[in-house]
Amino acid sequence: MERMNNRIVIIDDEVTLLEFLQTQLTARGFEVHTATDGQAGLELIQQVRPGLVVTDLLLPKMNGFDLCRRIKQDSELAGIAVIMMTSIYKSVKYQYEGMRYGANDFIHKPFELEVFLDKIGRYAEADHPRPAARKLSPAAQAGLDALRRQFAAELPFKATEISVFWENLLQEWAPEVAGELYTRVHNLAGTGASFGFPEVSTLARELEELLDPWRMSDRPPPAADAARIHKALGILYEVASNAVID
Amino acid sequence: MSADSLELILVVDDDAAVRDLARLALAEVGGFTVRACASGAEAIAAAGEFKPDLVLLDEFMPDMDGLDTLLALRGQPQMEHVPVVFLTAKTGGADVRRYRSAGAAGLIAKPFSPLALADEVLKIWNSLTTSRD
Repeated sequence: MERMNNRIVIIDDEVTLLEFLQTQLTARGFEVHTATDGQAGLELIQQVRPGLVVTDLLLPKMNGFDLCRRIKQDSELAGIAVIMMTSIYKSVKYQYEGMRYGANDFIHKPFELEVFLDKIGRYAEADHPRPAARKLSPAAQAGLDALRRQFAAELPFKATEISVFWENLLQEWAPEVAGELYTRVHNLAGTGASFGFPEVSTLARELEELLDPWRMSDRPPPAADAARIHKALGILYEVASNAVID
Repeated sequence: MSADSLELILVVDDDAAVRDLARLALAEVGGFTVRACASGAEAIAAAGEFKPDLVLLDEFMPDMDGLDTLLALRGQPQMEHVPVVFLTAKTGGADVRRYRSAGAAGLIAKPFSPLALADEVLKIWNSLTTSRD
């Protein structure tokens, strides 16, 4: 039987949240270690070698961006998944920055526990025996690789299509076009990571949330909301247009 | 439908990329026989002939969304007790309660891992058969 790493390090200067998450995760079979500042967190990570780090962005001594950079630049720690928690840096711009530092995922505070557990479950496994990881036959692997290549080849087109829909909406708002735009962004959010492009899913998900209030509206969003959508779309376009299969 | 073995899975999603990936993941990794449909209407038409053991259903689809498709499937002969699992990005507490109250057997988060999808489906299936015993 193969066993995955169930060890998680959580770093946050909000002690009540730390204690709550530690209690909830420990009850579900995870081994949880905590720290309240970035420097102590890094030392803890070097000591216990977790499979996953969940870190707030605003931390004393070393912020979450720097912590993530230090983890990803260390050859012995680079394989550790990093989820960034943030209540302030919610804009897509900061998430993009986080990804540039190597973050694997984001979660916004406040969050529902089930949403948090779902995120954790994508990067860590609770402490119970599980069957050996599924493997693909050579033919199936070739099929999967072909699907990934096809998805990657279509990404720039999908990004362009989304941009064209938005530009058309800026010229003349139409609820059905807004709905089409939302559908395309929603589909991208739900598929990117499945095909090996998690950053596309994350950025598309953020754009989806910005578009959601307007997708069935007969009025365009106000200037401030439109500007946020425009910025998020620009970042998604840049990432999707330049996505490369590893 | 066999009460104990999961063999036939009906996948319903308007996104062709998801259908292709789910078909590969479930058939090649899980060994299931898979039929993929692009809409709720197509799924309703296929269900009677294919007779799935389980339905994997996208929640957000144009024309007929996942919840409406589930209700329509329940009205089909032999589909009343077939487990329906939602494929969805909305996995918060309120969303889970909404799916459960509509009669969903479970939900799987999108985006999904192609290597893990079969196991996630099996986990839900096994929990259902265990509770029936």
